[in-house]
Amino acid sequence: MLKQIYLITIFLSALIGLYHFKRSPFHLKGFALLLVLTAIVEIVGHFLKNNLWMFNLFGVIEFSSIFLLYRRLFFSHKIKNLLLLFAGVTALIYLSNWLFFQGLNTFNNYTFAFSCMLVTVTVLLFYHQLLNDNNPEPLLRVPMFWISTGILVFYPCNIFFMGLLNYIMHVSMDLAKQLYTIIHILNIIMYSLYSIGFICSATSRKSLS
Amino acid sequence: MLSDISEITLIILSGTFLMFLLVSTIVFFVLSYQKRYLRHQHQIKEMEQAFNQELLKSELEIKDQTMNNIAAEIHDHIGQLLSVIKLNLALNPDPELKETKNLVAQVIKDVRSLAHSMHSEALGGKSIAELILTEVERLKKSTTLQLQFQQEGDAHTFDPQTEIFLFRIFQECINNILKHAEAKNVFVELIYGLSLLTISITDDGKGFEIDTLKEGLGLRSINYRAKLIGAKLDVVSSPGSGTKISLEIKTDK
Repeated sequence: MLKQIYLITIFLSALIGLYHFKRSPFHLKGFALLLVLTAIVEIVGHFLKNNLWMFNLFGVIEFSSIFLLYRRLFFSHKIKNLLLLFAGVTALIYLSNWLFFQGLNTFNNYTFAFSCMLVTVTVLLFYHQLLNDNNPEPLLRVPMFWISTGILVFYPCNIFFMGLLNYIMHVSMDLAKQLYTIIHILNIIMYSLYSIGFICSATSRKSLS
Repeated sequence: MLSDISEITLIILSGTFLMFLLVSTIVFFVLSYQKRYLRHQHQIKEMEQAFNQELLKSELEIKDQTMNNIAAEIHDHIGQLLSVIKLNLALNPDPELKETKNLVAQVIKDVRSLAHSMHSEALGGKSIAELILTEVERLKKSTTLQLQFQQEGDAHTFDPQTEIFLFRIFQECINNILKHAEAKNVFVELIYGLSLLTISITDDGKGFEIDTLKEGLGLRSINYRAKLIGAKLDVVSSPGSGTKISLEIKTDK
């Protein structure tokens, strides 16, 4: 049931993102497209028997895109370079994990957990930038605040489960399925916050015009 | 095995819960910090605005007081000296002095009118239409400007303070035209509508780019006075095509 609600949430969020696509700034367009891709991957993955290779491949796209999209939002060149480094390191460790360690058909939990940490750092840096803005806008009206909060709810909270996923699956498949409830709840929260962000971007445009 | 499962479950659930708690705290902190920061910024802005308003008010009061002093000096000192000259001339029956006597009488009249237009208290009791008309007549005589005055509709009266403020705005506009516009013709129009008085002053001077205009004391005092009496000020101008300043005020004020 939760899985269905999660799929509906992501589907709706992608639709809202696409609805406002034309008038959105580049980074929001990027997030909307990433969301569409996530929705496709999740739906296809739902019907595939062995879908781990697909989620592993998608992981590198997902994390690199997040770093590159955030890179456009920062003013500091140091942070821009750091995010470029994050994107490169993520791609590199995913690739080495596929080639030398866990392969494509085992969930790459270490790289996922590591990338989650990098994403958390990115969002915290973004918060820091928002708070030091010389012309601050109320955060609740900033679309990227909502999206960043969604990211901050999902990725760091996922570290424990995803980091131990392979071990849990090895110990008990049933337990893994039960604990997946956490991921679904976090996903629902994250994509609902994404939707608010997209709606917020449309309303802030209206108030400007 | 069973203890393994419960341990894993405990680690994951508590870890995730703690992480969620941490994230929530961060988000809450960020939101409340920014809220406080915005409130602080707003307070600073309000204080700055209040300070600027107070400063402008003082500047206007000083300006008004100076004008009153000059008006009193013109009226009491120069006016009195001119009256003495007039009396002395009247004692001389020489017919050649007739023209001089007339000129002195005219100068006394003009000086008195100038002193009255400068002194706030002397303006009381007259409607804005009368005040503007008197000023236009005075300016016609004392400047090279070609002034035209037109009034439409039945005149309403405002409270004396508003009348004086409206008149001072008009004077400031004319002052700006004389100082900066290099205009030849000025058209002054007063339209009394059902609930609105519109005063417009149009000149054919060099105009200016509104966006690049720096507000001097003149324009600031116009804005400030308009704001104080709840009037709407509108300035239309562009380089080479003159300037139109319109002032709208509700007549039920």
